Amino acid sequence: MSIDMSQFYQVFFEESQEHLDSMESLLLGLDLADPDAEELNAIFRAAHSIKGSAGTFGFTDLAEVTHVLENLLDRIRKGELALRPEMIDAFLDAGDVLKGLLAAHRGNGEADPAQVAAMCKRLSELTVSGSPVAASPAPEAAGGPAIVAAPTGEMEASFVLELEADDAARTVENLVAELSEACVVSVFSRPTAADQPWVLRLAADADTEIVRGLLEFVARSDSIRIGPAGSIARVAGDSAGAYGFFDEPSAPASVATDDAWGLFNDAPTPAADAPQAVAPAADDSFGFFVDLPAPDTAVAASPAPTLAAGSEGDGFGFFVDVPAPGAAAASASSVVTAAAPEAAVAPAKPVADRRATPRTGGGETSIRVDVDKVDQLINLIGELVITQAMLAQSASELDPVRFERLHNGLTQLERNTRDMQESVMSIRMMPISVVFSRFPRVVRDLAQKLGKQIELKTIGEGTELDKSLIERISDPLTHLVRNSLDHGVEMPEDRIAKGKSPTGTITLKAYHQSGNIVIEVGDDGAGLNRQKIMSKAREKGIAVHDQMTDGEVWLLIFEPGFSTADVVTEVSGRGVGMDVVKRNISAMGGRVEIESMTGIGTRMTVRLPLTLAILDGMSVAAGKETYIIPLGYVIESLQAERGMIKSVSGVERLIQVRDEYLPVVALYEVFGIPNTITRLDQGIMVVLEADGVKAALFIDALVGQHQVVIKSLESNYRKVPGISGATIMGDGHVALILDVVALVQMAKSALPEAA
Amino acid sequence: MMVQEHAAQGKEAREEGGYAQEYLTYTLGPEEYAIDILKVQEIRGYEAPTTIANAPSFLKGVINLRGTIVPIVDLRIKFNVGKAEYTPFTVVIILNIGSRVVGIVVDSVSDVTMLRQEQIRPAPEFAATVDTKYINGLCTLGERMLIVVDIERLMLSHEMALVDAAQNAQ
Repeated sequence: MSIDMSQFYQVFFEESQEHLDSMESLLLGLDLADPDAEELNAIFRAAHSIKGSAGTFGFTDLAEVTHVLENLLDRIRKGELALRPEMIDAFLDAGDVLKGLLAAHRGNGEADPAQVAAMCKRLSELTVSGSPVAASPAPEAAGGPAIVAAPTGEMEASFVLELEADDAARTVENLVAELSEACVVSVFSRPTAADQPWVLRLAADADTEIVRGLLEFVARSDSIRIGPAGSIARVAGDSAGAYGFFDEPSAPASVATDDAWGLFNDAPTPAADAPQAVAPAADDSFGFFVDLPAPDTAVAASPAPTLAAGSEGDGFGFFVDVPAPGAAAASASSVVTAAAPEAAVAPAKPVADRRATPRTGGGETSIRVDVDKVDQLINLIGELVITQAMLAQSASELDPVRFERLHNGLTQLERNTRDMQESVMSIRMMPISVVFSRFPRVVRDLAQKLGKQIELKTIGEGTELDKSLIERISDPLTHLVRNSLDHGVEMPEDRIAKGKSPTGTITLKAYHQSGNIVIEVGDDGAGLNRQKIMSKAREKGIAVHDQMTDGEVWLLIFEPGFSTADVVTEVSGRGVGMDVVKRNISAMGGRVEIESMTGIGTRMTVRLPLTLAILDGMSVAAGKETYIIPLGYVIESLQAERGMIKSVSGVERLIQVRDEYLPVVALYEVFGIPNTITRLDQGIMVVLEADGVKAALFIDALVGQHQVVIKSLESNYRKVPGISGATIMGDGHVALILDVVALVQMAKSALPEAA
Repeated sequence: MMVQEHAAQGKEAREEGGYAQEYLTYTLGPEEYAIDILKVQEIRGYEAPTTIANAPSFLKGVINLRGTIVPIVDLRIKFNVGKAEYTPFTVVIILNIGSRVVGIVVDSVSDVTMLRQEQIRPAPEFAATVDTKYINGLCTLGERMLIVVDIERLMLSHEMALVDAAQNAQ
């Protein structure tokens, strides 16, 4: 049985990964003040799907985390809880935990049960933390005397010490010191008698569990109360027995003493343990409760039932038909949690939205196919194209009049195969948004860590490129973005001092340009510092001179071990990275350019071929062999005249092209090809440029220009110096693709030898 | 070294017991060789390959085998036997070695023979064109003597230079 299930694991892992990714991007795109109901639903659905399949496959830890996550999401999307920044943080972290678990189940790394438990706890705390406050200021709306719901969301803890009063002051002092490690804390009121409670004021983000844990060492455990500021302060003066929520005797809440409080704090447990059936039911519970007879207003104001309902995640429905307390609860929750003045309306909106927009069913618009299958298809089509070319060649010898229909058929075949090749190629193409989508998170986390304010703009996410490129570009791009963030964009204070907006902008832009895909990583930061780079280069012993153009200077940062950062940070500054970026991009047949202006910003431009599998090539002949030169490196080709060829020490090694002297690399020499033209003025010179170095490649003749399918030479053979790969020509023969970078290097090293 | 070799062979023999295995036999000059037929993908005629620059002379180049680039090694040149002539009857054996596909040029392919493990005798150390470390053993079939070659080891060996040095290092 378990073997049967395991064959679906892969699908589950991929799907879950996708759900997590989409969840993350949705979370990052969420507008805190006014979250889009549809987006919230989408996030919820993603969590729900993961939970469902995790349960099916028996990954209980995954199911557990997603369940708690789902509960919280459900309450938010129903408008019971207002969305807070810390919730987004918690969600993102939960996403990370889930990813870790997924990886562990896949067999990479270990799952950490403690982490899972901590995440569940954190999420369930968030799930209930809004609830008690929801009810507390209810009398305010009901016309009762106002209880000041501290808009800052501060928390209070009250407790009665177990010890005698003479020790109390010191004990509390120690306690406060301990607590201050966990959160901001101050003593709010001191007791007048030994059995009177102490009240501490805590910061809004205080972890109630920690506080409770510490308090339990010194205080009577039944006397500890932790809640929003104001709610306890008011009762603090009351007799020790009546820890009611409100000091208004009319409010039934005063009945809700210890029990009620207990419920608040225990709430996470029932929420987490709620049977799974609750979750689907939660979707519908809204309608379910609407038709109920309107509950007593007093009940609505009482915290106990609110919580009871709340812990199951459907509390809101309770109040819908009860206008006054309903609104009160709504406004209360938002005043305290979001501190939005118009919040009374805000939570109502998603509710309306939810009714208006029916859940959109996730229709199947894509299928999951193994990449190998697609590659096989591409190979087969490549074969078909070659066969078709061979047929066409044979048919061209036949009389076009007698074999008219054959010729027509072949023309048709050619068109069809070309269309087919194009559409098969497009299967492998993916939008670059796949890569871009990870950056909001990277930028957010890093900006937080560095204390910078960054806005990330992405343009042209729909630009498509080959899947294999997508996989390989992602790391170099991340490096560039991190680099911009760390070195490019300044600290907010510096930016203000320079008269810029404190928020820096990092722009990611992708577009197609003449058969290439161009990806730009731009920032509006300080720009590169020419002097600093130059002096650093001298320090490193790199040859520099003052006449170097800016472009040449900027390229120095790609030198191995080069870093101008003053301090080595966790993020960057070790000088490892940019050279790797450069190398990776070159390996993909792309290149990097840098533009920078001091004080305005820096822009790194990465140019890549659209796909790794296809290359625009110029075919050239040398002897009986045909070679392919990647077109991207070709600047021009010309036939040398006697006068252009200059010799150094009697060896003809240089060619003068206009006002430049270029070293000549004779292909027949480098590759030892027999029977070629050896007189430099009889063959063709192809001027190549790679890595900023130019050279002239001497060959017999130009043959043509085609798109060629790149085949690896290394899969069955080995790396050959000067050759980057192979391809199959129209006649079925193999042609080798020249490694221009290596050839130009050869020119460089060959030159001093000849001189 | 040799002790280890023999131990390894002894183990193999035990594992395979008395089962017969099929071998493809081919000739190189006057010598007859046998290779495990499971390593053979196909046998095809010789076609002029695309030469590779600065490659050893026995590496004739690469061919297009239904979309795969396959290197072709002429064993006659490598082992200096027979005449390296290319006629319409020249045969290429396409081998499947690990995940690699390699073609070898031989004088002719003879037949497919069943050989039992005990028929294969350990080869004495001798100076042959093929290094004895790539020879699994010798086998007599009537008048004929077959040299049973560990073709996989031979093709992946350093001297064939078919594999990148880095991969070969271990």
